[in-house]
Amino acid sequence: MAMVSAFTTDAGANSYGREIALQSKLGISGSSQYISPDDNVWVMTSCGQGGGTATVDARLLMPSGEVKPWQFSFVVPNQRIAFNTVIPLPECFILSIAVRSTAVCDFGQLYVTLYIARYQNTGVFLPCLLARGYLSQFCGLGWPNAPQRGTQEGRGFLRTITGTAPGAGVEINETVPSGAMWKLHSVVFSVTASAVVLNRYPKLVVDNGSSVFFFSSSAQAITASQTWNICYSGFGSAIPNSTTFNLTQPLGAVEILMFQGYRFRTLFLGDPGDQLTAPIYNVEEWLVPG
Amino acid sequence: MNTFRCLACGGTYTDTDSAGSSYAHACGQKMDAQGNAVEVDNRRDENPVFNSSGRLVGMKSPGAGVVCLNDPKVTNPKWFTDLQKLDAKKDAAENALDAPSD
Repeated sequence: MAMVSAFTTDAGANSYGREIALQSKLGISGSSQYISPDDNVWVMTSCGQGGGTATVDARLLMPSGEVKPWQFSFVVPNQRIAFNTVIPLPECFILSIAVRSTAVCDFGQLYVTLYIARYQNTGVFLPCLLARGYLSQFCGLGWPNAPQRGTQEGRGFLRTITGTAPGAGVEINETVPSGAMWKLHSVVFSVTASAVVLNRYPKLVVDNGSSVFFFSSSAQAITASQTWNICYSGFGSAIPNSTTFNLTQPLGAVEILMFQGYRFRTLFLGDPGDQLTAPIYNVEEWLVPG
Repeated sequence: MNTFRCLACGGTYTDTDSAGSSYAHACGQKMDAQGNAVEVDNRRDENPVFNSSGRLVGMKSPGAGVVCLNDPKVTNPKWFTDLQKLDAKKDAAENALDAPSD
């Protein structure tokens, strides 16, 4: 295979002359992270909760040999979208840099990636990934010596969600929001059948927006004017209790991973007078900003 | 946190949960007279759609709209309105960059 080398010219650079090389006081370079006047710190964030505030702190070795503290704060919108903040720095060496959440935000709901970036006339270059991972008020990340974590590594953020209370005769339908991935743990709801004489067989369906890839169906018939509590979980026995009107259904021993646009829904009502309650469901959520 | 009623399916929901996470409503199906599951008319799906540049296009389907039960002046979930404002800010920033300089 032929080796192809690509060289990028510095044509986009518009800086004044460098000072670092001229300062004998520095002796050796302070760190491997030299920031030229054309470089920036680029922070990519995604937040699923409450609009977090992130603060970046750094210690900079200046051309004069002085070590200066430096801080920059910014608000992150909470729509699980990729949000970029570009922070200009003076010419320096970064000795250390850390980012933390300075607003109440649960661990797993604010993801940050920290780069050194440079704009060129051919685009944006991100030549150095400094840090990436989830933040909370008590768990920051930074460079050097902090572990890096991808958006979908480790345990996700545990959410208990109350969904939409459907209108009469309308099925439950809950969708994974844009920029998120779910692992579905359990779903609970009740159904009150109308007085119309019909057998309704509870059924939960999971699809990717079009193709059904999982369903859990019950042989228990819900008859006229009955109210049943129904729970889908990994521990469902599928044995109905006709005295207490409780039905537990298995949700599958394997994980049901759901990407954005995937949904779970019921599919069993038989009469426009049948009424479901709002589902309460437990999911593990990871941020997957697009 | 606002509570809405969907004018397409009649469902009620809140736009933010107690932990501060946003919630996007999407209408479920209903049974027709023959017992088949069909989409409700003018169904709503609040999940946002972005173009390849990451800019907001809009909701997947605004449908028949919603009524905010606790504040009639509110027309959309707060997180969606915030998203529109953020996109408008991006527009303003890009227009400023495109403006001719002296």
